Amino acid sequence: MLSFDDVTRVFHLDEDTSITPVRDVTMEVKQGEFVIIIGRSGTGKTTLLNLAAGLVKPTTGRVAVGGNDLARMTQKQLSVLRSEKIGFMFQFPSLIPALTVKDNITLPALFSSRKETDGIEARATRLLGILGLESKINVHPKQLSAGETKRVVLARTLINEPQLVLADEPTSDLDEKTEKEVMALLRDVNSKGVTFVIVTHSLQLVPFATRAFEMENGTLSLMRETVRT
Amino acid sequence: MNLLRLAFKNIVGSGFRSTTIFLCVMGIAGFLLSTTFIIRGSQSSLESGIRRMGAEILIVPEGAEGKFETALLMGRPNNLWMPAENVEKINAFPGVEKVSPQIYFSSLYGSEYCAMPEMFLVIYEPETDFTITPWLKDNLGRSLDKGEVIGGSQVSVPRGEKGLTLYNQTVTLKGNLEPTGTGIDQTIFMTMETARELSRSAAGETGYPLEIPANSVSTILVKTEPGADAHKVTLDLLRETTGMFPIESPSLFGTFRTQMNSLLRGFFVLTVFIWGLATIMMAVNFSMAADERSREMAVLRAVGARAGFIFGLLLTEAGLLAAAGAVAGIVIAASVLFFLGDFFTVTLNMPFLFPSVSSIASLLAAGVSLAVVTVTLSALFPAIRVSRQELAIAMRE
Repeated sequence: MLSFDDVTRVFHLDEDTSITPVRDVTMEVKQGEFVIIIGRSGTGKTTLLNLAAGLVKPTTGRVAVGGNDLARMTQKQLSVLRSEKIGFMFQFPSLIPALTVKDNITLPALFSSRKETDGIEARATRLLGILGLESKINVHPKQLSAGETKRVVLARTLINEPQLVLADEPTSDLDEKTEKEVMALLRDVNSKGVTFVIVTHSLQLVPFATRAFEMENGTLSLMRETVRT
Repeated sequence: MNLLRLAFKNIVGSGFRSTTIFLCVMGIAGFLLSTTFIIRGSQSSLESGIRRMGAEILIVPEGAEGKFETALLMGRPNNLWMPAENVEKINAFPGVEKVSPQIYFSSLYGSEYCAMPEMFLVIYEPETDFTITPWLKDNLGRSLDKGEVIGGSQVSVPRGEKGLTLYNQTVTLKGNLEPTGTGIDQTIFMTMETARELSRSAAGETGYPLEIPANSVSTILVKTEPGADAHKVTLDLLRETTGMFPIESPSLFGTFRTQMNSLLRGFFVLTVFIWGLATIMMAVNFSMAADERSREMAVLRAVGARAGFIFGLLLTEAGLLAAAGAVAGIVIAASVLFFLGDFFTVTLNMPFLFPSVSSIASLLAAGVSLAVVTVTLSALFPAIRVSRQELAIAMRE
């Protein structure tokens, strides 16, 4: 589903200074896996996720989704990939403030080549029902709590039924109870065959993973692997 | 959801920013339109006034050309006289087909029959007239009888009254000429018979007759022969007559036209300056907004929007704001001028004729197009920058 083949990413800050947040990373994520990457702030987790979404190109190495090398894809192909096959949960508040919850959730459908407007509306309502947010469908993001915001972001991520979900700190800013609820939701979606790659600094999420990696100084090492029965 | 709806929601959601740009465009479009309206209205008024007279050449007492223009243009009272024998002299002049004299008889101040502060009484000669008579034929089917008058567009009979009571004598208003925006609008035209009635009546009321100078006229309207060169006839008249001054219609209001042209040039420079400043201000506004929204746009890219969509979205937002601001500015300016046109005429001391619907429509289209193009251009570079931004960096900011 997602593969990193000896990927390095270097950012040049100026002529003399550069940083390498991702260094020689090789990883293969299979369909239906629930991968968690643990690491402290500044270890390159977000860059790794951006590489997986094609938001950043690797300096060396190859990143592929579904066997397609992202660096060789055109902007148009990348847009289609991001709107139809990849769901992205950002670490920062990423809902569009001017739009209602429903409009935020259905937003990715605007960029999808699949034209099913009626289906999208119904799916948005169903997702909000599953996430317990039916009453919030017409409110604006500023009226939501942190937990509700995360759930709305999750609904937006899932609206186009992606095959791969990339989540950056999906439970940050959440209390313990809400964190567990959100993770349970993610696992529930995962159980339907959707692949997850989550980066977080929270060790408490490790038990949810089929495989957990640790990221330090841009390199990745396997921490734990769980065989699901 | 589509691009237009998303742009609209973003505009509504960004209240302060949107309001700033909206007000900016509204103010400029309103200013631009109102000044254009005033200048165009003034030009249109001059043309209408000249058309209304229907003469190619006007003969006025020598040395009174400026006063005559002011009288005709702004309805200023004037005692302009020249010997009546001039009428025959001009009539016999080569190239002249018809002549018709007019006499500026009297001025009334604060009359209840006129929307303007002053109202003028002018005597025309029905036998020779080609200004009022054709209108009477078309609209009344006959000439005016004694005790009947025709008024400019600003003259009216108050509700409940039968006619206009002038110098204790009631006359019947038989119709109103089309608006010209000049002094003609505040003028009452009557025959010599009616004028004499008024003169007598004034004597009875005040003890002094209202004087109609004997053997004098104020102006002579001249129609040239078909095929005659009006300009050449004017020059010949200028060379070969004394005590009077011929003005060719297109040259009428020359002083005022020169002032208008200077005003127009000044206005053009001022508009370009203000428009330039506003464009810079809006460009700064859009640039700041683009920085502020770079993460929001990166999110859109991350959920599948192409760079072109982001570019189009930002330009659509700018275009919608510009169109809304321009329409609002133009509608407000047009309404103010429509309801306060007379006030401007008096205050700015210039003739004004509210432009036609088609003229307003073309100005509206031009104003909105100009606003949309300018505002969109001011948003162009920020839109290019944001649509091409490095997503990972934008999301970290």
